[in-house]
Amino acid sequence: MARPNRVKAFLTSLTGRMMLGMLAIHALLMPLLFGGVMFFIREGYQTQFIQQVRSNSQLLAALFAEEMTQKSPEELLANTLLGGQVIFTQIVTPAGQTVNPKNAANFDLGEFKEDFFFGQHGDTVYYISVSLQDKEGNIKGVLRLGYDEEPTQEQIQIAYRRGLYLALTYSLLSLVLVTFSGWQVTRSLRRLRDAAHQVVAGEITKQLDVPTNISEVTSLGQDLEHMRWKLVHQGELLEHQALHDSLTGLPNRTLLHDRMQHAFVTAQRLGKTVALLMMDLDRFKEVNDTLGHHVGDLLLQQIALRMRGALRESDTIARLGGDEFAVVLPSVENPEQAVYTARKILTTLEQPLNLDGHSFTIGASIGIAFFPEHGEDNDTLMRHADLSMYYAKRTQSGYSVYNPTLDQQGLNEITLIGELRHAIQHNELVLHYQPKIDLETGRVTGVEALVRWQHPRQGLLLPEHFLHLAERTGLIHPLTSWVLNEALRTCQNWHQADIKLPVAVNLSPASLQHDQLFEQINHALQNLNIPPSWLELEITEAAILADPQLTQAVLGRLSDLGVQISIDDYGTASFASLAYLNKLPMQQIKIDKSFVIEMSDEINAVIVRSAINLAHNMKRTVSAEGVEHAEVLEKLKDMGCDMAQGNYLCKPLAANELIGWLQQSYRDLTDKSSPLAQN
Amino acid sequence: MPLSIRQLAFVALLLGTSHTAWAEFILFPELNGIARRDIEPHKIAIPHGGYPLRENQPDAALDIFYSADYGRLRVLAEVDIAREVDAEIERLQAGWLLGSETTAWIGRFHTPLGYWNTQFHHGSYLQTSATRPGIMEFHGLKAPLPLHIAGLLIEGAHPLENQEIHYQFSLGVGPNLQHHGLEPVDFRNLDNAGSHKLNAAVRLSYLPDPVIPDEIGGFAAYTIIPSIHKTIREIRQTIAGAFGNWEHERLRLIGELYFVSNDLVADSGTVHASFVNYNLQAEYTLHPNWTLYARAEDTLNAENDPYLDIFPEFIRRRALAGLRFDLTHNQALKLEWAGVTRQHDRFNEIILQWSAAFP
Amino acid sequence: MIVRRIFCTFCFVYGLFALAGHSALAAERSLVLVRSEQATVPPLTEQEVRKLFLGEVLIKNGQRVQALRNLTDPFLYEVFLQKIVFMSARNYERQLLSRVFRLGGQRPPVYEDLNQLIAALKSNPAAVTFMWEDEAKTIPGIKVSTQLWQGPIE
Repeated sequence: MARPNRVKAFLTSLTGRMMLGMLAIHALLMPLLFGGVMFFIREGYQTQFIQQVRSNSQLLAALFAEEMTQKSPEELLANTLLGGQVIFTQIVTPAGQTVNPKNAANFDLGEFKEDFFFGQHGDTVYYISVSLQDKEGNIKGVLRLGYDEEPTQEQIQIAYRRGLYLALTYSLLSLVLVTFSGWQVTRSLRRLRDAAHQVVAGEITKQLDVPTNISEVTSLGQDLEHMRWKLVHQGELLEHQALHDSLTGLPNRTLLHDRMQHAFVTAQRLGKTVALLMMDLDRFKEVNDTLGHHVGDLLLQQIALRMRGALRESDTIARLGGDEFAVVLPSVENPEQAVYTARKILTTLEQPLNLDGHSFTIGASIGIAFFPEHGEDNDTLMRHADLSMYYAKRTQSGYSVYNPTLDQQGLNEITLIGELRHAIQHNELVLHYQPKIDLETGRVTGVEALVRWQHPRQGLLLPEHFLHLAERTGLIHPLTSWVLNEALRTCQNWHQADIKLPVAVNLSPASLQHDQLFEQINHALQNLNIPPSWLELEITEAAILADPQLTQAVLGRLSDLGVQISIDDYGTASFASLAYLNKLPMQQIKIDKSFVIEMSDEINAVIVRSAINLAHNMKRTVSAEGVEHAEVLEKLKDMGCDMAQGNYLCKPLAANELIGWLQQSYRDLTDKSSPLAQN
Repeated sequence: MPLSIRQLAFVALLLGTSHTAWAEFILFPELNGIARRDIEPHKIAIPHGGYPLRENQPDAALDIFYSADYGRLRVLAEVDIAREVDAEIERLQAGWLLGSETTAWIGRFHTPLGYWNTQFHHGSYLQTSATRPGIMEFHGLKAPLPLHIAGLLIEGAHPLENQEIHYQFSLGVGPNLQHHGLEPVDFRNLDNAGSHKLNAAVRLSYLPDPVIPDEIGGFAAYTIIPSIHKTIREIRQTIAGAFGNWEHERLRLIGELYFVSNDLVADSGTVHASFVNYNLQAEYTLHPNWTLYARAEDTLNAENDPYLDIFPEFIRRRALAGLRFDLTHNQALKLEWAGVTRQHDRFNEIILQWSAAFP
Repeated sequence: MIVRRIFCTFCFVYGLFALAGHSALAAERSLVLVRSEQATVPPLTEQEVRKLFLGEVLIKNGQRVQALRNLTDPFLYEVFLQKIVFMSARNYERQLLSRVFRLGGQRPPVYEDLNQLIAALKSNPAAVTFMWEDEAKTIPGIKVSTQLWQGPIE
């Protein structure tokens, strides 16, 4: 692994960049500044020197002019040198003679060159000449002076050096200050970074603290803290959403489980009982389908509110989904307390609901189970409470306390219902077909489709094992739809194979009341491109009588479409329904098998004969179900029954098996010993 | 500090004529940053009506100087625009050059007193220090002497072999005393000129060498100052003093001595009071651009002086030190620290001043 | 061989230039006071010239003499400062400003353009200025009034 480049890291850090920036600025500006300042300092010293030289020389000239009358020029010149500033003196007389100072060595100049600028001639002496005049203004000579430039040069050099030291000190101090400032800023930034890391690491419960005196970092820290607060708040919101139902705001299944666990632990410690109430609304689906989902949602919200009002603060009410609710009573003294609560809830729900301009009432079924008596874990208790609720719904008793005897049967049924739903969705159902025989010709005039369930464990289940469950749970509609489509598909296949047999399908009472029944059948016929006359619908007498007007309307539309209608299980209902039967657009009456099987009994035989006569009188054909023996068949022929079906003639067969049977039966028609051939 | 139309016209005339070769138009701006610290904050400053010590304040002023020669006629005007007062015509002189050395003036001019009042006028650039001595203040309740006269002034120089005698004689009217201090004749409003009274002054100085600024001299002045104060009708003031300016290489000394005698005339009688004030300023040129300076000034016999009581802001005592830095040939920065004593308060102050002369 | 010849030629030419330059730099020049040919200003003494350029009033023959400062040549100005007023430029300016501020009048106006200077000189018969004598002789309409200084100049 490559070692981290510390130099590079430092240079890219804020402190490093500030230092580099400062160095660059100083490198750029300091020479300019230093140069500029030194220029002005040098110019000042030189100007000062020149000023002194010029004014001093003028003064000396005036002094000389005055004292030359009393002292000799040599002496005056020598005195001038004593000052130290003047290092050369000389007088040139008007005659051109030079006078030098007395007892002093004047260096040999050569040619006297006067200076007008500091250091003009490259030497270190500033030469100046002044005319000596008396009071009358007469020229007495020219005074030549040489002033030492070295002291001024030294002053300039000292100023340069001091300036340089000052500049370096300033630069160093600046660097130190910049480094310190950078460290101060980066320290604040590091604190900010740590705070950000804290948030990233998920430690958002603790308030962020970014101690700094830099306003921008303080502002960032405040923003970060606000973000943290929002995260916490959002987390709480998400947590709330994860544990609560969004429509009603009630705890959901997950939270319910948690509350149950808490209640169990507390109850166990205190030796108390926990009651679990499972509630299901009656006819909620109808409300949803009739008034719309919006009203359905409002209904659920209202139910939640009412339930909340009926319960204590310590009680937990949860919505499990759909129209299912659960209530946990964490501490009940006795079962009656839970029953009382259930009754209270039901009473609350009895109040009419006014939702979106609609007024109605809705009922519920509540199942009650107790911890630890009926279960010591969540799943067991919920299942038992669910079972009791289911029982309450079936018995329409409003509420029910769990009874272990309900267990097995209830469990089986609940299991079966789930499996049936799965079977419908995954094609585990099969259709068997039982042929209908014309008793006069012995020919097959059609088939009845009978649904079977190829259960993975229980084998082939007959309809009586699961149809009632389907009707109870609403599965009858998808079941019917599947049967219809499957039967029509088979019929189509047969017709394509030149086996022109209509197929009869049983409709349950629930299916008859389904508002989409006509569309469903019509769509299936059109989809498969099958003439409606190939389809026969068998409707039980009891189904018709459940809602005669609706039945008449539905069957009328279907009959108009061309679908054949037959009354199934005729004889099981009251004969007072004969008037209705006559009005119905039906073509056939099928006598219930219970009468046909026991035709040895005289009364049953009379009933069968009467049914046959009735059908004929109503100009309908009549068919008998449940022919199990040859004697029954003979009797039916004698009574003039038009058609018959039963295990004696042919048991229900799978589609491909039926083809084989049809082919065999055709051969049997020529066999006089075959029941089919016996006319 | 708005200027009236007359003032604006006057300035425009000055500007117009400044284009001739015989005219000078110079601006002396200055900016001051003043920070003060009251040494005796517990004391109530002034019982008369309150002139609270201004702790920190910026200050700005502009001195506009104009001079023009028309043959022997010379015109000189100086207008000072400061934050404290309105634009005031400080000097307005018309002169006749009697000879190469002598000029006769008429107008409003500086009273020929001391060294500061004749050498330095308004505008701080030419003086080394940021402030003038307290006795030489111009305006308000800090200025006890009549530094402006309106009248006639004759000044000139008389050569003596290699020396010179400089002389100034003035005769005119001085200020009157109002509630805000001595008020000289205001050329913006001459209606009240009649309320001013006699002022006569003479100043003589000896220059050992006319080409160098060394100078020593004396002065005297007599002024009658009418007063609007109820308790004082007028003040008859006599001033006498001496001054000197000496320069040698890097060192310069400026000193002044004032003896001021006042007769405060009231209806009930006359009260006499006198005091002595001196100031001495030393300057040392560290470097052609850097000059160090210090000044001491003091007033003797000021306690219970009824005349000085009229000027509570008069700086009775001050010790200061400062540094002047010549930024360019016509701009300077000065930093000055002073310990100041007035009648009722004592404070320290630091002044940072920028001053200049353009062009 | 060729290289040696070129080198010797170079040395010879350089020597010539050095000698010529040396002698040219050491020429004698005169600083003179000049006026226009129509001017009626009489010759002035050195003291009078000094006082005039220090801002003092000088009346000659009833005429007020005006000084004009010649800043067309910085070297000339330095010679003037050294020989006439005996001050550095800074002190000279300071002194002028102080005097004018005290007593009124004007500082001697400054001319940095020779043509403007000559024009001002010719327009005012009482005006004088200083310049190099050899330069003055080349300017028509200008007359030398007084020699102020003479000496070798490099």
